[in-house]
Amino acid sequence: MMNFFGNRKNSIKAVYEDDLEKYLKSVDLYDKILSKEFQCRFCHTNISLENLEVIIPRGKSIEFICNNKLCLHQA
Amino acid sequence: MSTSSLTTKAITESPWAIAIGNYIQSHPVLWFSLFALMLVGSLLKLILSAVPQIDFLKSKILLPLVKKYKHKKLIKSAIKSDIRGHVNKEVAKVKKFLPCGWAEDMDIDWVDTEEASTLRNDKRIIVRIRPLENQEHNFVNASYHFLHSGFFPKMQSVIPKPHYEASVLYICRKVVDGRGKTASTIFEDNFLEPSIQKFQEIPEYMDDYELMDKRGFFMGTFLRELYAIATNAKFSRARNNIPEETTKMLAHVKNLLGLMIIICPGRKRWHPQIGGTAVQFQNMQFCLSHAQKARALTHI
Repeated sequence: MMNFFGNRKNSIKAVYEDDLEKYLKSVDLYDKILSKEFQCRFCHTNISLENLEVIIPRGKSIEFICNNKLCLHQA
Repeated sequence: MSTSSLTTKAITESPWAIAIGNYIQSHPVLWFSLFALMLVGSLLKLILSAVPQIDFLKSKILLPLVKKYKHKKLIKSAIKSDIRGHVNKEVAKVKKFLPCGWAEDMDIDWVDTEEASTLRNDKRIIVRIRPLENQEHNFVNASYHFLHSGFFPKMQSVIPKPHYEASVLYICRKVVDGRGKTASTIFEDNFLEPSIQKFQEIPEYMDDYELMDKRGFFMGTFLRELYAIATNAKFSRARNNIPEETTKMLAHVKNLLGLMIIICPGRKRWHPQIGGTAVQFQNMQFCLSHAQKARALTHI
């Protein structure tokens, strides 16, 4: 992606803490997270609103990474 | 007559619309000034997005401000400018030596609502950003994921995982160290140490990268050559031998560096970028053979 001045830009998507609930509801994931349907991709801990750190879309499925130090660097 | 044109007519002919129209016509200077202000504002916004130093300055102004006025939009703007300004300032130092597209200017796209299908089709990961009190953590987290997603595009599954991790961590460390002690400590605790626990080769590789980087062989040669090896081997049986090839290539570069130091012992400063592509690196085999001959002659 290029900006107005022709500089290339790579963007990352970020969700702010206060918007997390609204965002998860908009993508139909909020209830599933509350009912602990998802596990961390690496340590298999149940994903909750408190420990969710990264969301990885993988086509039809969606993976989550928790805030455990040992999982974060593997995203 | 269609419903939409009826609605438009009803709006334009309503008394309040006519009153607004009359007010605009009777105060042309006011509306022109507002328009000019909007134009200047948009131009400023464009300049802010193009120059990292200005972004950096913006964060310096906004951060103390949001500690007093806790307005969500302002907080998000401060967080974004702070992360973007710092990352782009540090990335600008290494960008010209890295292959094109690996570390472009960073931007943060805030998402608060999205269609489920858009989330699934967009391959970008979504990072959670915590409130300002955790800004150092936010910075390290965003920097790491930004660099991690940009390195070795489309070859991430082909590159040997320890080298992929070590090279991202090596550059990320440079970026994070420019921020300060707290960010460095968070990076070491949350990213570097857990990665080393998983891949024990990482400290050794990082030492090798440091050695190569001092003489301009890491970004200019090693990373490009590794990427070229992966690209060429991706759909052939050579893919299974990439770890061995990488080890040989690393030894080859270190050997070359050793020879260069023997040949030019007095040279303390090196050009930061020797070799730009894999082809140039293959040409260095020629230089190496000459260097070996030179060393043999010195011994005689």
